[in-house]
Amino acid sequence: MVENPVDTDRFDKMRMELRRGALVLGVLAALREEHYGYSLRKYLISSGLDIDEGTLYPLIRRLEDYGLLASEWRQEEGRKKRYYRISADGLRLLQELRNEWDALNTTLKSLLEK
Amino acid sequence: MNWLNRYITAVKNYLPGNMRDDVGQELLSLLQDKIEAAEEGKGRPLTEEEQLALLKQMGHPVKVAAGFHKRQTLIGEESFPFYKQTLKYAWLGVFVVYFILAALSMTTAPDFKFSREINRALPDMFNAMIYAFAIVTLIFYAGDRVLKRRDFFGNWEPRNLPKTENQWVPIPLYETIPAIIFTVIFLAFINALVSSVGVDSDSGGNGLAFSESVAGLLPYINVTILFSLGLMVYNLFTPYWTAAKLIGNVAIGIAACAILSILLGLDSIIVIRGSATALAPFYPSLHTLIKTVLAIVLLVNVYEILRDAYRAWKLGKR
Repeated sequence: MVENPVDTDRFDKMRMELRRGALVLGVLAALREEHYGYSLRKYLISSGLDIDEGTLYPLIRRLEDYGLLASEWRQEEGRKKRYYRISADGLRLLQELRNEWDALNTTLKSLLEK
Repeated sequence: MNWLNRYITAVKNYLPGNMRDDVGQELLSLLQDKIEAAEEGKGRPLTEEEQLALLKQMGHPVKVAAGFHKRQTLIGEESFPFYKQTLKYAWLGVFVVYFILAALSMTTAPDFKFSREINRALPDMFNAMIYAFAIVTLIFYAGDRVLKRRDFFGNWEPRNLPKTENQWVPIPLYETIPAIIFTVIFLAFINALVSSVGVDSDSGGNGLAFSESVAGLLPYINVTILFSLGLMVYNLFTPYWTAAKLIGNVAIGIAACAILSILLGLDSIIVIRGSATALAPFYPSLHTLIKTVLAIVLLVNVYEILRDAYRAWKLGKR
């Protein structure tokens, strides 16, 4: 996309900053359906949101610590897997974040199109 | 599977005890899922090399574990620039003090040997730098905790901005930072380095030291200096005088005057230790010099107490 190596570096930093907040929204939205860690990452990638494992797994745990996700261990095919799902608090927050996102999106769209 | 267990054990080593097993088990499950998916894609079990490549892709155990830690800092982002600047000048101050001491030693000691003096001064200077680092870090750490606990920046009120009628109300950083550094160095010297300030060139127990009476006063001197340092650090974040801060300064000044008066009343402030008898002829004049300096400091303190009390009254009146 950007050829110059310095520009690529700058672009990557800005891109990461831009995506950081959006990832929470993406993860909360994805976890309206139950997932375990690996299946969640695959689901996000297939939806177009490529997220690094080192970011995703700690993020899920933080969201759970905040009470936005609920999890349970299950035995499946001889192995234990931890399933995550959005909590009632998480759903409320997701709705508020979604409104915020829509408002931001509209504003930015209008600013960018000027 | 052996590599997986080794990897998980390595990650667990860097995790806090309360999440070690839980996160370890989850990471193991995630890695098993990844391997299973890769094996499905290839239609065969992964080779050892492929497993190792997968672990490498997952990241260094320290980095992976770090992602699960809560973000913690010793010094907050807001205080860090002041901390860095204070530390930088404190180290520079220590260096300058040792440079002056070395120069004095060079001009006064009859048997001055450069290599011997360097060998003696460098470890002392290194120690002083570590003391300065520890003291500055502790002060900023404690200050930072207090600021956070009181939500200092969140509770900020524009109404509390300083009045601009009096020129002395703002406290410029170029006054506060050197004052902090001077005080930190002074604190380090009187507590730990006083023995190394001896004029005698032998290392160890020869040279000048505080008398026992002064050593007995050291806890009170330390408490007074620490209160003073606390106020100075607070001044970094609220760089203007208020009536309350001036009253605090007056209280510190009164404590300092009390200590100085006691010191001036002592028969001996410093003593000659060990075999540093060459210093004996200079002792009376050195003692008079120290007492004169203390008397001057006392007078300056009295002046500052009166000045600050008047300023506090002036600010409180409005």
